[in-house]
Amino acid sequence: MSEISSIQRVEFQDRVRTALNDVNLQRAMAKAKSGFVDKRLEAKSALPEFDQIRDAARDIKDHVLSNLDTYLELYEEKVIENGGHVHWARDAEEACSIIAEICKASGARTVTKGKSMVSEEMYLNPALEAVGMEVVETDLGEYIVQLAGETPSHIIAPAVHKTREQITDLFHEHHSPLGYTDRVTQREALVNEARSVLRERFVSADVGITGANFLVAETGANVIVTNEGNGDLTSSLPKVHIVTAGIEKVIPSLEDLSVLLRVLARSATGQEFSAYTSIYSGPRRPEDGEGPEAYHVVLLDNGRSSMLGGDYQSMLRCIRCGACLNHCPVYGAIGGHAYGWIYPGPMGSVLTPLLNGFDSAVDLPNACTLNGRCKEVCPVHIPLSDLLLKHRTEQHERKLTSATSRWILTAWTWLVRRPRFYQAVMAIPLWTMNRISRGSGRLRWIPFGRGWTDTRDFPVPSRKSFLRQWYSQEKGHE
Amino acid sequence: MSEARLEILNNIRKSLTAGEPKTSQRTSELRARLKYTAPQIQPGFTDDNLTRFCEKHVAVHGTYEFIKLVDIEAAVLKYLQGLDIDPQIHLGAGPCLDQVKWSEGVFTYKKSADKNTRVAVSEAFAAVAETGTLVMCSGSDLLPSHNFLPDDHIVIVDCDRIVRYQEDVWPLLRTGDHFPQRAINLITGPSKTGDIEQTIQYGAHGPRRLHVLIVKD
Repeated sequence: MSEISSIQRVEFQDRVRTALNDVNLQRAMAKAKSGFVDKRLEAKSALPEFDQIRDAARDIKDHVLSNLDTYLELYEEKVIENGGHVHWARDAEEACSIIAEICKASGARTVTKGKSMVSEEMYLNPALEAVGMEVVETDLGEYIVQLAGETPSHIIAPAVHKTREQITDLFHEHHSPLGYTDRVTQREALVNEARSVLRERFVSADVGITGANFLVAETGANVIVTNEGNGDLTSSLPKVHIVTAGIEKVIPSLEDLSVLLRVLARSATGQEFSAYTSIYSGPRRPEDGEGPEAYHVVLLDNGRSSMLGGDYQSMLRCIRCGACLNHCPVYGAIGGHAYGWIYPGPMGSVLTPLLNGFDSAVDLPNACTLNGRCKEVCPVHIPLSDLLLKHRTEQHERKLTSATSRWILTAWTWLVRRPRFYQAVMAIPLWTMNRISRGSGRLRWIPFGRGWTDTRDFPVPSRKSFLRQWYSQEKGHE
Repeated sequence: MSEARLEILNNIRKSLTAGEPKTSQRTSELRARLKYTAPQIQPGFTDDNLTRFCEKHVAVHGTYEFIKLVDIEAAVLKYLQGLDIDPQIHLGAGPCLDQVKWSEGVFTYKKSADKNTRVAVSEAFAAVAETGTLVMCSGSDLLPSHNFLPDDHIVIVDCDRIVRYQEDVWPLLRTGDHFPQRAINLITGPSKTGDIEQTIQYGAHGPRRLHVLIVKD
C-alpha cells in the first residue's frame, strides 16, 4: 500500500510532465492509439443493432442497481446452494484480511491471479505477500507490470505503456535465473517464454484468485471474459478458487449476461466475442473429475453503496471495458499512471474521487477537455463528461479548488450576467490588442498566454465584436 | 463477517430508498423475473446456423472439417500425423465421442491434462452460430483442463447441436443434468494475447490451435 500512496502524493502535474517526457511511454502509446478505436468502430459498424443493445445493457444495469440489495441476497443464496462461500467486505482492508485468512487456513504458499482490477483496488498483492504468500499475476500484461514493480496503466491492457524492448529486458532479467538465458526479442518468442514460465506456476499454485466481469444471480456464478485462458487455469487448477468482485457486478440472469457480453468485447477490444467467456459456479461437484475443492467470493463495497441513489449512481453501471480510456485524448497523451490510482482515464477521473474521497484527486476531473467522446462510446451510456463537470461544480462548492480560480469564476459569473457591462469591458482588450498588433492581425506575446505564444502567434480578434457587427448590420437592413 | 454484510445491505437500502425496509413482495417479483427470463434484442443475420458457425470460427483463427460419425478416429489420427506426434490423446466424453472404438495403437487418457499435454479431444455440449462459439461443460469425464492446457484442442461438434444464438444454449443447459455445472466454458477460437504492442499473438496460455470436427451424417 505504501508504494501506491507515495505515488499518490506526487502532484498530478508533475506526473503529467514526467509522462509527456517519457520517450518509451510516448512510443508505446503512439503504437496503441488508433488500434482500439478503429477496431471498436469496425465491430460497432458490423452490428446494426449495437445502439439498441447498448440501451438494453444500460437498462439491465439500472434495474439491478435499483434493486441491488435483493439481487445480492439472491446471488448469495445460489452461491451457498452450489457449495460456495460469500464474504462481505466494507473496505479494502477488510477484503484483504478475509482473503489472507482463506489462504492461510488452506495452508497455501503460492497464489496465482487472473486479472482483477478490484484486487488492485484492494492492494491485495502486498497484503498477501505480507502474510508470506508468493503471488503471481498470470495475465500477460499484469505479469509484465508485476515484474516491473508497477501497477496496470490501462484497465484491460495493463502493459500498454511498455515497449517490446522494455519487455525483453524485464523477461531477460527475471527469467535468466530460471534457465531461460537466451535474450528473446520477438513477440512470439516473448509470449512463448512467458507461457512456459507461467505454466509451472499454474500447475503448482495452491490458491487461484480471479475477478468477475459479472456475477449471475440466477446461478450464483462468476463470469470471466479473457483471451489468454489464464483466468480459466487460475479458476480450475488450484484447490481453492477465490473470486473478488465489487458489489455492483451482479446481474439477474444468463439472458441478461448475453446482452452485456455483446457490448463488452466490442467496446473493449473490437472483438465480437472474446476467446474465453467462462461461467464458474461453486467448487467441484461430486461427479467432477477435477476442479477446486473450495470456492469463495469476496464482495467489496468500498464506497459503492454510498454512490447509489445519488448523482453518480450511473457510474456503477461501468463494465470496465476501457472504451472511454481508448477514446480520451488526455489518456492517450499521458497514459494511465499519471492519474495516480488504478482507475485511469474518464472512468477513473469520475470514480477515484468517489472511492478515495473528493479531496484526494482534485486535479483529475479537470484533466478533461469535455470533448464528450467518452460519453459517446460508453456501452452502458454513463454520461462521463457530465459527471466530470459535476465533480468540478462540487469542487467549487466545497472550496477544493484554488482561491484564485474561485475568485476569477465568481467575477466572471458576475460579469456575464450583465450583458451591456460585459460588452463594454470586453471592448477594452479588443481595442488594445488591435492597437498593439498595428494591423498585422497577430501578436507575438500576450500576458498570461506564454503557453500559446511560445510556439505560435496569437491571432488578434476582430476589432468589432460579433454583437456589435450584428447590430450595425441590422441597422443597415432597416 | 455477518456484521459487514448487514452494514453493506443496510447502506444500500439507505441510499436507494431512504431506509425503507425491503418488502417480501419485491423479492418475489425479482425471483419471478429470474424464473421467466427471456432473450432480449439479438443481432439479425440471414446465413443458416452451420454456414455462420463455420464462417465465424474461421474468422477467429479456428479450423474445421466435416466428417461422418464413423470417421472421428481417422480424422483425429490424420490431424496428429500432420503435427508429427504420437497418437496419445487426453479424451473427453459425449454422445458422439463415446461411440468411437479407439484402435490399439492409440493411447487415450481419461484424466486431467497437465503442463506437458499435447492434444485433447473433447465433445462440445453445443455450439453457437452467431459468434462461432463452442460450449463446453464440466462433468465426470468432462475436464476443463482439457480446454486450456494442451497445445492442440480438437473438438467434436454434432451438427444438430449448433444453435443460432447464445440465448438458445441457456434453456438447453437449464433442462439438462447437473445445472449449473461448475464450469461452463464458451470458447471462441484458440488462446491469444494482445499484451505486447497490442498485436495479436496466438497460444498465450491455452491451446495454440483449435480444430473442430463437425459430425454430419
